[in-house]
Amino acid sequence: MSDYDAIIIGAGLGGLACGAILARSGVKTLILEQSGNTGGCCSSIQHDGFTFDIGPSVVEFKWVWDILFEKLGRKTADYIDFIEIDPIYSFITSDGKRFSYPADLTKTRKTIETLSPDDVKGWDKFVRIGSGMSEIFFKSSMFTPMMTLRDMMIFGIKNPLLSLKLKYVFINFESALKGFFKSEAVRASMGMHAYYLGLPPALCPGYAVFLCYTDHEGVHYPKGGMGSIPKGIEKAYREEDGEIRFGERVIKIITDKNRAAGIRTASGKEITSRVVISNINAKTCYLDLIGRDYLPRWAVKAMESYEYSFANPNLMLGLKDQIGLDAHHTVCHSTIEDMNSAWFDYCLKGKIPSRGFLLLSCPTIEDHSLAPENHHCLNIVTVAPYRLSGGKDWDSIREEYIESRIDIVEKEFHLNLRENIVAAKLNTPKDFERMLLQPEGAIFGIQFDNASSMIFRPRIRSGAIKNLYLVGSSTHLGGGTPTTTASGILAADMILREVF
Amino acid sequence: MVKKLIPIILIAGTAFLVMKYVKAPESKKRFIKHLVVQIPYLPGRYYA
Repeated sequence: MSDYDAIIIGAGLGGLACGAILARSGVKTLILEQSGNTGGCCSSIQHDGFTFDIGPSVVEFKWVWDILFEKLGRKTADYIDFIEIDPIYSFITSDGKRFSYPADLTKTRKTIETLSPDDVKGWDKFVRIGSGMSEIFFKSSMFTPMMTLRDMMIFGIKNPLLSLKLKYVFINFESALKGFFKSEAVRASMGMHAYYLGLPPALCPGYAVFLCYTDHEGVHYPKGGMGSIPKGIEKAYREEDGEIRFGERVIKIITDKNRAAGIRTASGKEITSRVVISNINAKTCYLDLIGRDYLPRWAVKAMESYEYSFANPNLMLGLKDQIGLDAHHTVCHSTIEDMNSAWFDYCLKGKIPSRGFLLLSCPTIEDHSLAPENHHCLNIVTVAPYRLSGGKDWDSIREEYIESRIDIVEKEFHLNLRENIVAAKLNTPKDFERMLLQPEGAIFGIQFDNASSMIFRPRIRSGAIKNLYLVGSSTHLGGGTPTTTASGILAADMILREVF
Repeated sequence: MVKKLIPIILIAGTAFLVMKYVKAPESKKRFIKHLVVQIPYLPGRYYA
């Protein structure tokens, strides 16, 4: 007789979603979280009177939470208050020009026309194909486990349009953009979406280009900060008598004849369960928590072969005044070449890029509750390597990094930042690793290229250990708030069907 | 006859792909290279 029916390691979005559905079905569930909060990467922190988001800053595919709460017999609006973001993005160029992409497709068409009249036809084609691809790639695949070739074949049969658009799987993001847009400025404005998969445009699969379309189906922000999403799911989980223990770090998944049988915590407690669900990085789960000695050799090699995506240092600033931003997200405009160079010439060589990707996120434009009256929160998010060259480490360059980012925003993009700062906090890749136990501070987890996605990503139902299930960014469908939540829904459905 | 043709077709196909790769822009080369170096790991990843 086990202590629990299900133990979930980690209270990220996937773990919480899975736990809530299991608890709702009467499965005796325990979530063990090493930190003092739920949410993992999707959390908010308090600092000097400001509420800052530590990871993602908006959500796409809001309907994923609607599906989750429907399964829980509840309404999303009673647990999470989503605010629609419009415009989706604003852009600021180094010569001081501004333009934005509103949620409305026709209005964005006008922006494209202003930027490059030759690209209007390309935009129309992009929208036409994008709406179909949105259905296939992002809606159908979200709730298909995609573990075997059989799953892929069934998925293909159910979505015949896929075969006509298969080329977007085999070309890169950069080439896919070139197929629609002639102007470098337009392509560059959409290039940053490659970073949503944790890869530069040259390495990112082409189908991700349609994320630029799905943005127009709705981008939202949860009132109270991104941490409101896990808090909403946590509330529903507790209402279903689910149990969470904070400050409990799991150091071992106990196996018995190749079957997960429970866990051991850092404090020495052993708790048995019928299934174990891992909401931590798959490499850590297999190689550290189960251990190489308890895994088949092929599984060890497979796990060792996955590479982490890049890290995103997040500079969080409290401002005493608005600095002239007119959208939740402002992108400091760059070129595709610079975005690729940030990865190949900087990150891979241990250097911090000065160009390529700079996202300014100002959530107080919609949600004033995040800062003291008339004050604002600003996140400056960039890409950077985990390991720095020249014997440097992130703790020693903290101040230098903060100053250099502020300099870039002020000097290159002409925003009056420094004199408005009243609070500052930097989360470096090292901080992410310490706080979230996310290896190398890689917020997107393992990379999401064609060789490590779909059937080649660690399975939701482990192929190496029985009764072990994986949720979160390192399993199908990768990093992102809706995708990790969806992985929890998929895992719970599978567990209820197969085990209980 | 068919058996004799198979190696020729394979060699010609490989040569064609190599030519395509050599002539491809740097961005495409990086994309292909990044995937090709991971091929040995795919069977293990598939079953994990």
